[in-house]
Amino acid sequence: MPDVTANLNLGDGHGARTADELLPLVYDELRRLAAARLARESRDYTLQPTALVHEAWIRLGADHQPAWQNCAHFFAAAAEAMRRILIDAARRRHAVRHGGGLERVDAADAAQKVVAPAQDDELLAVHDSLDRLAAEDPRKAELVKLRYFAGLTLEEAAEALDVSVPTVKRDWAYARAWLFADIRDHGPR
Amino acid sequence: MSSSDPRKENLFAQALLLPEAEWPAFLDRECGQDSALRRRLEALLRAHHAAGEFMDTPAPGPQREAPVAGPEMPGTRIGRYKLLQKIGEGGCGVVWMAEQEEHVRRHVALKIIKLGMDTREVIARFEAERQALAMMDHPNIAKIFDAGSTDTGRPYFVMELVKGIKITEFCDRYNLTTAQRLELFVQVCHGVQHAHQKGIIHRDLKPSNVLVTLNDNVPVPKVIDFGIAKATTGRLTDRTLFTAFEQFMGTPAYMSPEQAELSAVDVDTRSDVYSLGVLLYELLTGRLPFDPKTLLQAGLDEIRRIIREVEPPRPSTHLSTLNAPDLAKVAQQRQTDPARLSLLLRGDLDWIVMRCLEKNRTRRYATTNALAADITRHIQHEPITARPASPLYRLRRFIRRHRVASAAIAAVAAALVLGTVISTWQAVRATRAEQRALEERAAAVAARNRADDLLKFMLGDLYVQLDKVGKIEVLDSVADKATAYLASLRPADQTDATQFSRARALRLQSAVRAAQGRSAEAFSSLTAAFDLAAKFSADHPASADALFERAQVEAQTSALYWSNSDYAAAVQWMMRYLDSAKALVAHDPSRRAWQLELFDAHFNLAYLHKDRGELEAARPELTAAVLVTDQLAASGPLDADLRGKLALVHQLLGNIADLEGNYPDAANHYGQQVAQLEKVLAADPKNAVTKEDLARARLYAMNANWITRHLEEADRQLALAQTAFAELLAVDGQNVDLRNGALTARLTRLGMTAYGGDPASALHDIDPVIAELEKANAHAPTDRLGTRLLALAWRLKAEFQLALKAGDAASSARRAVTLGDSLQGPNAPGTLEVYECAKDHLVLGQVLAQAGEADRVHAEWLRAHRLLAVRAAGSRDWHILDPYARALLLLGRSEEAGATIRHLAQLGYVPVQPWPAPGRSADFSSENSTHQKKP
Repeated sequence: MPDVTANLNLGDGHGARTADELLPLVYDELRRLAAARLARESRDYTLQPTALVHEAWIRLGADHQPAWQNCAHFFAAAAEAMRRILIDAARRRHAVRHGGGLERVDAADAAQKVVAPAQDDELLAVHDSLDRLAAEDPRKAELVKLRYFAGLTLEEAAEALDVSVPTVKRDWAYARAWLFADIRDHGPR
Repeated sequence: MSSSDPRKENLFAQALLLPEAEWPAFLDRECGQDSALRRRLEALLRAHHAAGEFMDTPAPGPQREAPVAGPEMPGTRIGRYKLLQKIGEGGCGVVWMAEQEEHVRRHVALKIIKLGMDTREVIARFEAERQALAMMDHPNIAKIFDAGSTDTGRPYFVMELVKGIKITEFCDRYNLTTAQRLELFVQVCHGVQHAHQKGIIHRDLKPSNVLVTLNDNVPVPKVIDFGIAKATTGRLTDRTLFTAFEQFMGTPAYMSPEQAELSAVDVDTRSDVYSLGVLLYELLTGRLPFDPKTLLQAGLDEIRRIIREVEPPRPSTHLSTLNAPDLAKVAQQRQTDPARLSLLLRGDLDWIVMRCLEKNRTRRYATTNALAADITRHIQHEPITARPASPLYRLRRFIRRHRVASAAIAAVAAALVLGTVISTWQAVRATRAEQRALEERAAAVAARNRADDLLKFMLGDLYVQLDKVGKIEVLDSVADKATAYLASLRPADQTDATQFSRARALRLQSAVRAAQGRSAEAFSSLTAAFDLAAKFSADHPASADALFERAQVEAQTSALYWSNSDYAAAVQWMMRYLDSAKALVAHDPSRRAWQLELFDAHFNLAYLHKDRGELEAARPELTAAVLVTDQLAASGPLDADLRGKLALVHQLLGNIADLEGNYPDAANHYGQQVAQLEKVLAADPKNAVTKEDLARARLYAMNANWITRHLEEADRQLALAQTAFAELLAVDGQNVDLRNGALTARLTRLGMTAYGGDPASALHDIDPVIAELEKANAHAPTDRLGTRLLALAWRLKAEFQLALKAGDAASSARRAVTLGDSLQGPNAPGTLEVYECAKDHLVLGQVLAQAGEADRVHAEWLRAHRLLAVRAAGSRDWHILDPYARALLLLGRSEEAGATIRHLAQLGYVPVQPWPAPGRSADFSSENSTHQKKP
């Protein structure tokens, strides 16, 4: 991926950038990765987010890439990028299911149906609620992104957030209950 | 919500370490007075508890979102084929023009399947059909040559290259007339038929698979892709099912209902007939049966539901819904004008198309040839074989499938009901004015556009109309469909109104079943009806409607027990009905309808008591009933309702006079009953119910006149009754009551003929009656009246044989006795059942005596005596006393017999048959019993 590397190199001279600034970069890379993988695979339609994120990390230079302060820095951007990708896809599927302007039933739409609606509903609900959690407790919201959208394990998330595994566990249980209660209070989408 | 709070988080984490049961105590201890904290923690803990699998699995990852083009390009070699140029791309694959390089050098079409299929399976399925596919050789079919897999592992198919365009496009581009389109379509049918004969089903017929090429300027349609749908949609399960559904069935508009079921196994040639029907629809109207946009926006389940359940509009109807410019364009593309096009489609072509589109494939054309033949017949102006689907059939399907009260479907169904009504009325030769009135009424119903209105119509007006017409099988259908429909409603759709309708439908269903002699089923419907009605009226104590429905169920339950000879239960339910009727009157004393209910309750109770021979109990109820009629007569007109009630009063008074031996009075009352009913019928000559009531009244009048020796009047009433029953049966042949009534009249006629001096002709005529009764008895062995009539018929036959000394009187009499005995037992038998049975035994005794089997004669006399003795004490009913006296005489108990005979004489009773000579109790001989002489 020469252009990405060029971009990253460009950032070299300006020192470390924030995860937010890096987001578009990671976003594009993840999308490209996903598309390439999907083109290769003939049977599996659904890719594992965690595999994509890890591959993107390698491809974008990993530890050798000075644009990233560290792995955590990257994962923060990657998790947010992944979240946007997944939400976009879920919204498209949602629209398809509810008759939103679909003109043709073809292979693309067929693939949209692979994910069960229940999973999409959860995805979209968590997405909405997550911004509210972030307002109250950014660290836990970050954890949710890493765990839920980027598919990181507890250990990986602990490393990325630079906290202990028991803390991550505790935070996860709390965040999960918080989101569940919040979604219940605000009703489903 | 408060912002991040370490204390709260700590407490939450600590609580999670505790068992759930200890949470309240823990929170009490830790939160103290901080109720906000406590509430928040409780909410979180509850959420934690309820969250289940929430977020346990990470969000699903990205999925394939666009078909990925294959790596093939012009020049690529696939097997022995070289790709030349891409000529098409569809949902399921890319089609290339390719050059075959081995064996023969030719251009072929090579279709590469796009998406992730199990290539090996596809090829294997193709191989399974390869032999058959190779045998296909028809000018209207593109041959399939080969199949294989590309280097990238995707399946491909090689077939005859067809340089043509979609049939729909071709027809529109060249403005083909309807006739020209039909000719092309018939060729398509022939091609498909050829494949069907080789055992190959296409499964995916649609315009893009039917191409038209020009051969020397002659258009030739060719069906392509045979064998591909089959190979690519083999065994499908679960998830793959859904993707495959859309990948390979591209557009669902042409898919048959059974294919929409996704049971790919169960697809046969008739699925192709369906798809051809859709194609024909499109060729004729330029539109699809179901709007493809609506279909595709509906979502998968809804698409399937539409295909499986929704009846598409007929082609001509569909055209009429187009706006003027669209319609003009459609017509112009067929070189005609809108009016003519519509006229052209209406009738044959509508029916042909709709027969292809039947949801149930057994109703479609069985073969493509049959379809082609019908079209050819249409072109040649011969009658077609497609017949309109019967309205009842469609109504039935509507009721079964329809779950949501949708306005559109309700309107359709109302139209169907209209069809039913009209055909029914035509069946009974309704006058034009009546038809018009009914059509207007049904049109009004259709306009109301709501399912519950439809239902009310079905159970109300329609039911009443049909009831009057007297077609029990139609009533049966309406009641069954309504019941099934109401039962199928989801709980969310169950309202008070639907519950109420359901009780009503069940009750009507029970009535119909009872009338058909289906006693057990009648009981089960009625029990369900009562549960609903009782609950409904308990829930709505102030509702007179609820109470009324409950009262109806009670009355009907009583009647059902009554007809099953469970008099105790019948009386009990009739008392309940009386209570409900009184409550109705209390609700609104001025309302005539409630007064009539009260009359019915009193009257029916009186009738029940009378039927059990309890005249003392009957009298006060009858008096109360008469009081109601007096009040009604004083406060309102002497209308049909009131005349009907008065007729009933006279009937019962006549019955009682009968029982009391007051025969002239009885004849008088029956005469008045007949007179009232004649007036009611004159005002409403088509009312089958009144007609039946009158026929029965005539039977009573006949009886009374017979006994009082007014033979001419008896003869006249019987003749009128026979005519009426025959007319009623001609319309409503399934009605058991009517049949029994008619057979009673016929048997009576035979008895009169025999007693009038011509037993030979009576004997000759009785066999067909017996045959009919035996058949009915085999069909409904529990129908007591049927059994009694059958016993009577056999006994009459035995008597005729005895009088003529011809035939096997003994076996006739034995059959009568067997049947008569079967009606005795724990269920208190009615007077007539006892009377008839005693007579059976008396006749068998006479037959045995004549045959010289003296040792067995006595037992028969005794049996008859025993049956009657219980009821004879204090009785004034000749039905009991006449045979009782005979039994006593035959048993040699002359003194007791003499007293009974004198008693009867005092009552004015003249025996139809002379009294037998007294027997000797000690030494009973056959001579003594051969008393029988012709009257």
